[in-house]
Amino acid sequence: MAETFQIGPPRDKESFLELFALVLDEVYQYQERSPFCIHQGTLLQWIHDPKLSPTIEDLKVGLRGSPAGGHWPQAIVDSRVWRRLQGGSFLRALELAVEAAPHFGVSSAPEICRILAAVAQTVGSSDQKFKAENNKLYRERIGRAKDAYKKVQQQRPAIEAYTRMQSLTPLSMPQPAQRGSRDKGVTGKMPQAAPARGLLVRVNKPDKWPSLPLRDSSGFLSNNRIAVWHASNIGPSYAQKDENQDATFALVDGPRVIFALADGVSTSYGSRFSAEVIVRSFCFHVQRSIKSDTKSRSNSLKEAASATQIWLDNALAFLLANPLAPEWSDVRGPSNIADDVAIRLCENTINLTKRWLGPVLATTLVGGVVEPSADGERLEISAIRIGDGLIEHIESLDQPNGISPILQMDGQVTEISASLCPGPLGQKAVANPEIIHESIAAGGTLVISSDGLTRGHSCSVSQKLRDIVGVPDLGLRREDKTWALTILQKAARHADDSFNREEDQRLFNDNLSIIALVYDPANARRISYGKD
Amino acid sequence: MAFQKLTTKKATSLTPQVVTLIVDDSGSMEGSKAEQATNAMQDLVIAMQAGNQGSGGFRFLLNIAKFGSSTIPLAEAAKPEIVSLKDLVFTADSGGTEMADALTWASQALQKGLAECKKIAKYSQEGSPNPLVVFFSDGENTGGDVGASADALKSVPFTGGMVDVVAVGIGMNQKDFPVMERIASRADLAVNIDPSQLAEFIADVGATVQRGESPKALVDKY
Repeated sequence: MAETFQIGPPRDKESFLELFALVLDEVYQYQERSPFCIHQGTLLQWIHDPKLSPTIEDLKVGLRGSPAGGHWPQAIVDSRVWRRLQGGSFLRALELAVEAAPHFGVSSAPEICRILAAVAQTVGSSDQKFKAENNKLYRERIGRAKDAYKKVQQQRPAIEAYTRMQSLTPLSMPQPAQRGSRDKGVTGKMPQAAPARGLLVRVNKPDKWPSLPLRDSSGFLSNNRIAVWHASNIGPSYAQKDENQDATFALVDGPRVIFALADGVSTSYGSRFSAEVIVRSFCFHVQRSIKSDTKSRSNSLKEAASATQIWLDNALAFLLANPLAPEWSDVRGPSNIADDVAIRLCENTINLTKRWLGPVLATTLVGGVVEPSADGERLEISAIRIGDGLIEHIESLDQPNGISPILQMDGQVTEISASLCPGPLGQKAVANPEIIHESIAAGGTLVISSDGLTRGHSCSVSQKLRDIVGVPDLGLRREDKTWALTILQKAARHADDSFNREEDQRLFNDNLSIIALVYDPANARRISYGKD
Repeated sequence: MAFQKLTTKKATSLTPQVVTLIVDDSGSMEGSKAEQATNAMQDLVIAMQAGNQGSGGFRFLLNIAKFGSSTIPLAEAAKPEIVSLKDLVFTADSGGTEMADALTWASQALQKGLAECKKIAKYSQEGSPNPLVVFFSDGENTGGDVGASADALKSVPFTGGMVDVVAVGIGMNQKDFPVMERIASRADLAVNIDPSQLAEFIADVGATVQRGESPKALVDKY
């Protein structure tokens, strides 16, 4: 049977052959240190012996410990052989095959055994013809197979990998070889007892880990028609905040502007770091998603939020898998929480065993995209909200109904029902976020704010700022590129003055952040006529 | 699950809350009760440490003690982050159940905590949440009458309201329970819980404090 065994099309699907290439590649990496050891005949017997009939669960049981369940061939589970296999390329290949199988459309243990038999044939057979043909299949598919598997690993949060790493127990330490045993191996020496081998899953640092110190992202951007100012601020000094956990970001993408504002949950470990990452990650993902014309804005925003949440999952998994990594200091900030407590909080973010402990790296998010309508007369707004924050539309600050809410919030409510964070709570939050689409006339102003500017009064944020700065248009000028930071500083000073006059006045009692967008198609015409 | 964003309505760095926890560590607490107390108290302190983040000062001050034949302070007027989790171990080897002594300690520790709060510039006691004292015991009082100590604790001056004393019996015999009603600041703040609920109750103390909820809401759940 073994001599006529051959994989390949048309019997075997492309995805099956790609999985074969992936597994063979794994064996090639380790073969010099530990030969494959199992003959293809043993693996084919495993498939065809009715007394064995393995299932995927049987394969997993064996990977977790000594396969005493009875569904493994004796040729593998013989104690001398089993000892030799520990840490070797056969079990590594089996582990990879079991893990990757679902992503390549392979769903049964016999198929996995068939792949392993083909691997055994490639590395161990004396028949060069089969080796050559298998290697040809491998060379033609390995690139595609690796790309496909890498995409899967990037999409599936590393948090699952970390969770699996925690739940699997190491393989049991095999018994040391007895003196005088006949099993002396090829070299004539007694085989070494393999070390206990845990099923380690590599958890790499996610891409685009921010470099510190985190640059203040406040500023001004514009294209011909849309101008955006954005900033965040630690807030009034009476509030005694020890860091600014709000963050804003915006980018211009041709005719449109993409924006994001995140407010770190103050009691959440690492929320300042998270806020800075989230606003950037969200905007770049929206930009990337929008380039596909087939996606609706809603889908682009949801995908961007989801991709950002996956980044947080991967970041948390990386931190937990590397408790001594220097990246912990990026996340810690000025927190005095001991490292072992931080780790407990991080673990609880994943397993949620203690419901009263909030998640780490948690923030709210208001983000979206604004772009001119097809005729250029209106501004189309698509926005997403997780947690709280608001968007107001200003037509006029001097008229009674000149400010209208696009996304409202109640400044008296202090608990939020969702936040963007790692783990199941974050996954739930991005599964069903709040999304709005609006259209406003040219010339209006959008104001986006975190809850900080809503605290301690019952007006709209725009009206309150108007009262503070005393000018009808809030002083928004393209020439004043620091407007956002300036107005927040004025707001904070005003709040401190109020508190000093009367301590019951707790105005703006939080970190503060603001994004203001103005759509002025006339500006584009002025530019084109050389009148700017 | 709601995520806490603190405002002036709850414990803040200008209106911090003093939280006092006294746990019976007598021989009758041996086994599961002591183990639950250890794990749950450590978790509660972790929750308070998390709740203290983001603020330049402190939102909570903790007093924690275990008692048996005498009272052993584990934290006094302490910011949560300096409370050592390693010290929060209950081993049920503290002897008898001298409740009066424990209540006297609580009274002194509470006053110490309030004195620390008064050192904060712009501290507003009127705006601060009531100090919360939670007293846990599973057995009969083996010491003197608790009346004077309990009254002294409940009478600690606090201009923002009054001291809330919750007395929690842990599977206590009904004949011994009246002492808990004497200790509690109101009859409806005395509760007798099943020993298996101890960890959950302690966790709910932490949640109650974080959310600024009333202790009655805590007790009513049990």
